[in-house]
Amino acid sequence: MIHRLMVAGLVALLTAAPRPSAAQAAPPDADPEAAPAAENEPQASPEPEASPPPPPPAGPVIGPGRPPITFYPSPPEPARQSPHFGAGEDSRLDTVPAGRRADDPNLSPAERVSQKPWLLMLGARSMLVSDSGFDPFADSNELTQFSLGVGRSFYAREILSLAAIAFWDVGSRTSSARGEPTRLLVHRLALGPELRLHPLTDLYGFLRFAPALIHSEARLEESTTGSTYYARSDDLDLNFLGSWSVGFDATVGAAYELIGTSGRHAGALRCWIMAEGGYAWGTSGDLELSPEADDTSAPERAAALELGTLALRGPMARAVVGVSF
Amino acid sequence: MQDPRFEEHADRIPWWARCAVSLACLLGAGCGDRPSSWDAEVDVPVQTVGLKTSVAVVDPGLDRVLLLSAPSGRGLEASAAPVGKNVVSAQASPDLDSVFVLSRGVQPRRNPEDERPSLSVIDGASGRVSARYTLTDPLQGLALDPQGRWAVIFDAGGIVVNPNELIFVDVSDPDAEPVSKTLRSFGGRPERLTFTSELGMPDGSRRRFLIAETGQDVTLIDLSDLSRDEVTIFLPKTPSGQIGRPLEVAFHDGAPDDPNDARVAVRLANDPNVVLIELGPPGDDAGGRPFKATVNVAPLEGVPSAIDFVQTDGGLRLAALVPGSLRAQLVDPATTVVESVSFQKPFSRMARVTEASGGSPQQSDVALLWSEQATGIAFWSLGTTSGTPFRSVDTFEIGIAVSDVKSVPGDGLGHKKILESATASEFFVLDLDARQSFPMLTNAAGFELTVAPDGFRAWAVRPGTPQVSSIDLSTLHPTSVEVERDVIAVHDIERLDRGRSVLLLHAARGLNAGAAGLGATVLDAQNPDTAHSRFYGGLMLGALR
Repeated sequence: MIHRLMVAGLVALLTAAPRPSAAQAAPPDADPEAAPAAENEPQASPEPEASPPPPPPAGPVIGPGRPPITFYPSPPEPARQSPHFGAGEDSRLDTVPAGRRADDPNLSPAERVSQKPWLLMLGARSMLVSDSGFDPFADSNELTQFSLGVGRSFYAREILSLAAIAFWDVGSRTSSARGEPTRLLVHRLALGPELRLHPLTDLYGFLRFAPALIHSEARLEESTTGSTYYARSDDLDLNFLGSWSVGFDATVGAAYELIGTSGRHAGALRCWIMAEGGYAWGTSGDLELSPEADDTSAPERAAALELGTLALRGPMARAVVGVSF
Repeated sequence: MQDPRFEEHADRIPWWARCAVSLACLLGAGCGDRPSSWDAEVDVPVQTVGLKTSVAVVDPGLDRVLLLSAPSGRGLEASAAPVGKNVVSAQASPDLDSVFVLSRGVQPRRNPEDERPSLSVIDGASGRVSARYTLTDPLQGLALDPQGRWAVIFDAGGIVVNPNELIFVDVSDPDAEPVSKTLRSFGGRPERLTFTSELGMPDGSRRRFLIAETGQDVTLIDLSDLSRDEVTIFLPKTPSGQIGRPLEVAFHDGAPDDPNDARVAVRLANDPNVVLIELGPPGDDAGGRPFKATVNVAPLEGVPSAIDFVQTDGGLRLAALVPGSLRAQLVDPATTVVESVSFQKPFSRMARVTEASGGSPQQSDVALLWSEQATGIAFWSLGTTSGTPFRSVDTFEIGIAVSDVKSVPGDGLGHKKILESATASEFFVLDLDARQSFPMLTNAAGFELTVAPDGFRAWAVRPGTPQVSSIDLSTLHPTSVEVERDVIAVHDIERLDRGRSVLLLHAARGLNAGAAGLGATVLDAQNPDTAHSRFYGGLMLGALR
């Protein structure tokens, strides 16, 4: 049951790829007034240009009526903006020259990050699989995988933003079971929403829950047959895409902008370093290893070699470098 | 009360550091190596023990015995039973219901927690350890009582042990404490142990004895009272002056109505004399024993190759085969008078087949004679020995020199014997009822024969080849099968559904050092057909989790 629910959720996420909002859908040359209007939000009125500080009062003034003392030209009051959807520009931002958008001091940290909504990530992920089904394939509990991720920010407001992140993790362990060579290859495809908290312009923390599809292939070189026995995850049969099991990643992490910022000046690309940790869960599958059906060297009617069950679940951590654009 | 300094110090630890430490602890708890069982080597050759309903595979690398059983059809299940470290011997019980595994434990023991030697008894049906007896010394020899009451552990060439120590385990009581007994040594050490059946004693009691043969004497141990001193029989010197070395013992209760005529006979190496020990009425110097052992020596015409007590028309005799003079000699145990029966061939081995031949041992015995040095067999009818000894032997020329005679268990086909040859490429199935022998030809020598525990089939295999044959012992119809891998052993076991399966075991060394695999092809034993067989690989990985 839980498998079906997770699969349904995953399929829903896959099919509901982040669609541009009305603001995003608007062509660059669209009427800047149209986008905010379409969002059913109060239209922010253009702020007046920064005005020089008012002249100091003639005499001391005590009480609330005293105007603030400023020592430099104060920035304009931040405009009350509509939620910022990805690269979509609200009418006010579109009035700002493009080169200055990211530098605009009026932008909140979340909105600034969302100026470059696409994110490509590359790194490594490691998880600790304490399940005993992992033992024939590794002499320790670590499963380290190569990680490739892509994401897109599609909502930003104040210090919060929301993104959709997908990861493909692939890695293997090789070992031996009483001298018989073994190998476990694991692919993991995860896609899910990421809620970001931006306390600073170049640092944000995030919380992500990503349903995942897991494809594992266990193999063992069996000496009496001289054949290779295989067991693959088998919760879902996706035809030519193979068979998969399901799971999820629930992580918390942080991203820091390494390159792309100098003060508040941003380049075309921003480079991030990210780290996250959490728990990865996967369904448990039977480890019934059998020779391939077309393996002519294997004996006829070779029974499955049952090594129990394998559940790829445990604490995980991932470190990646990313580029947003 | 908490130390205020600690509180002060703890307050200084930032929240993020606490979280990091907690996370590190969590991750550390998840780290770890796998169980060492996955790295254990597989000992080759693999020792297997056939039981009634399962096959026990000794796995010293993991200090366990793997039990392979067949639930139904061509299914196979593996379960594991733990045994002591350093297995030195594994034997099936005489009834094939369980397997006895003797372990030396950790030697030398350097720490109190180092495992002691032990004897484990594993039930073949349930796969569980039914009893485990902790021993004090790491002995290596194991002798099992044919009647299933005793297991005796002794040294069979070990080092730094008391070679004359015997440890008696009453296996009928799982909670029994092993009893250690050191034989008085006169220079010898136990080499063979023989359990007697119940022998009538002069006081009317019936007792069983363990006969321990050393290099120079024979010792009788009363199994009904292990605290009693044993009786050591010194053997006469050979004609060449050498110390008499026992090679074989035989025993007999004597006449049912005479409690004073139980006897033990001893055959000696390179000695034409046989020693007869009579367990007669005790004298004043018996020391509380219910019998007195009286030794007589009967001279024969040559060095005997086999002895046994037989019932003849003239009464109880000790039969001794003297192949060097082409004859057998019958010794009257009461008078040591010797009679001779001539043979045409130098028969050197014999087995009583009285009941299998439809005779009664109360009247007279029938013995089957054979020899590794001559072709042919003979039936020796001891009921006509005294009157017409020359007519008592029927010789059959079968064209092979018989090296071993296998009995067929059970009542159904117990009248058949299988005659094996060490050199020929054929064997014979002998029907004792009909006094007929049926040759079974094979394509090469070097095959091994095993008889199914139910007694209805025999299996022939040449180890290291994929060819196996089944011989239906009722019809003598052979069925040859060729499986897909080389076979090292054949075991015919009863399934849980009351059918029978045959397990053809395969072993192979793996690619890595210390790697080896065990596999099995499972067929229906009563109708072996490779088109319906099933192959099971990786058996040594079974029950590892």
